[in-house]
Amino acid sequence: MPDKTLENLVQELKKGTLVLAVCSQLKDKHYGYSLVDSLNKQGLDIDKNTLYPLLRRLEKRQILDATWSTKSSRPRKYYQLSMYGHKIYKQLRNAYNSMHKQLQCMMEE
Amino acid sequence: MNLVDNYLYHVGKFLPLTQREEILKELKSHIYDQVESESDDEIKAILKEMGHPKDVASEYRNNRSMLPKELEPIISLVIKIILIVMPIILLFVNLIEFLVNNSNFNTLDILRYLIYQVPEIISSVLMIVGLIFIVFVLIEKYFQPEIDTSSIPFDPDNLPTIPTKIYHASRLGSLIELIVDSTILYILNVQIGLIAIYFEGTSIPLLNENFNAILPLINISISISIILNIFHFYKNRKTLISKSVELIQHIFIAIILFFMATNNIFNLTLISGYNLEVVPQIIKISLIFAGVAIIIATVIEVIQLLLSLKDRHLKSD
Repeated sequence: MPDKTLENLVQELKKGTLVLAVCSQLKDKHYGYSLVDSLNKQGLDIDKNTLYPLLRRLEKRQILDATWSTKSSRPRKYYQLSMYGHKIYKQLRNAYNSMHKQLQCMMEE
Repeated sequence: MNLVDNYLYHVGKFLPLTQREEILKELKSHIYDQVESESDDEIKAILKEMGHPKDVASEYRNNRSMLPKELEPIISLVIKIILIVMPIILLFVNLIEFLVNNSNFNTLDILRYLIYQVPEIISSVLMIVGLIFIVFVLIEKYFQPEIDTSSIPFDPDNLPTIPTKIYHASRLGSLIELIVDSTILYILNVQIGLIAIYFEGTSIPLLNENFNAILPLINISISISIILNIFHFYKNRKTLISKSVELIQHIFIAIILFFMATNNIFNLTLISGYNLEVVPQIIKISLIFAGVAIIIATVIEVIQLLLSLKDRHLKSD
């Protein structure tokens, strides 16, 4: 089943870069679904069942600040990069860029 | 029943207890963020897209299972069958063994023998369950079967509804009742001498021979209670049938209490010489009072049960 294998490999590749994608969007405040929407608009089709637990894990690691808003009729949870999150995001981005360059060199050889 | 609440209830069953409330609050907010018209069809479509509650919950669990989740339904089914069939077979085999090896016995001897077999049966069942788990781990490790679950789409309509309060049963409560029932059954049938007044190095039995006439009724009542608690522990809820049996058993307990009140089951030699004739009278009144209280509580529960059935009937209309 070559197609299934490729699909799984692409999924794994996507998963590895998901934290970067999420952090890139959370410089501004977002609630869960608005983040999905924002990622979708940029061409990243993301599974909500993967995203919501990821937001929770990032919050637990203090990379994200989360606040509940009760302004509307239903409470809504907003997420944004914390100070520590900004620092981590910057370092992660640098690591990714350097990895990307190395990979490109390798693949062009 | 609110579709979202019902869905979240089922997600919650697979979440760690310490984070359950918070995760469900988040999920509820995520679900309603997508809702525009709040129509049942729209909510069903959202829940369908999210998938089976078990899959949603598994993404929140940090500890990865040793087995793929595709195999879980098969393992769960096999273990359920083992948990039901094995104890019955072992009890039956032990019973046959007892009947073959003993020629002179009464019902209590059989009951006592079977109670003694319970720890052995529990350890055998646990061993078999462990072996099955190992077999599945080995199958996964060496054969890696491909199970396609995409052909079974999730439908929120197929989720069972949240049990109403009247059908609620906690596992801990059932377990405690099971232990208490078994202990009482053991003491009344095997160690009746323990129920005594201990005085200056001697013990005087508290119950007289009239109690023996009531004992079979108590045994039947406790045995029914044990079966019900095993069922409630396994199902984690009551069903219409088990609730009905429970209510009948409550009436049965009330009848036993009335029998106990009217049959002078206590050893009167205990109080002779102490001018305490009022004590049996107090016990008699207490037993009748307890019996009446049980009957009143049962009648209230029957009314609640009938009302819940009426509600269910109206909803289905």
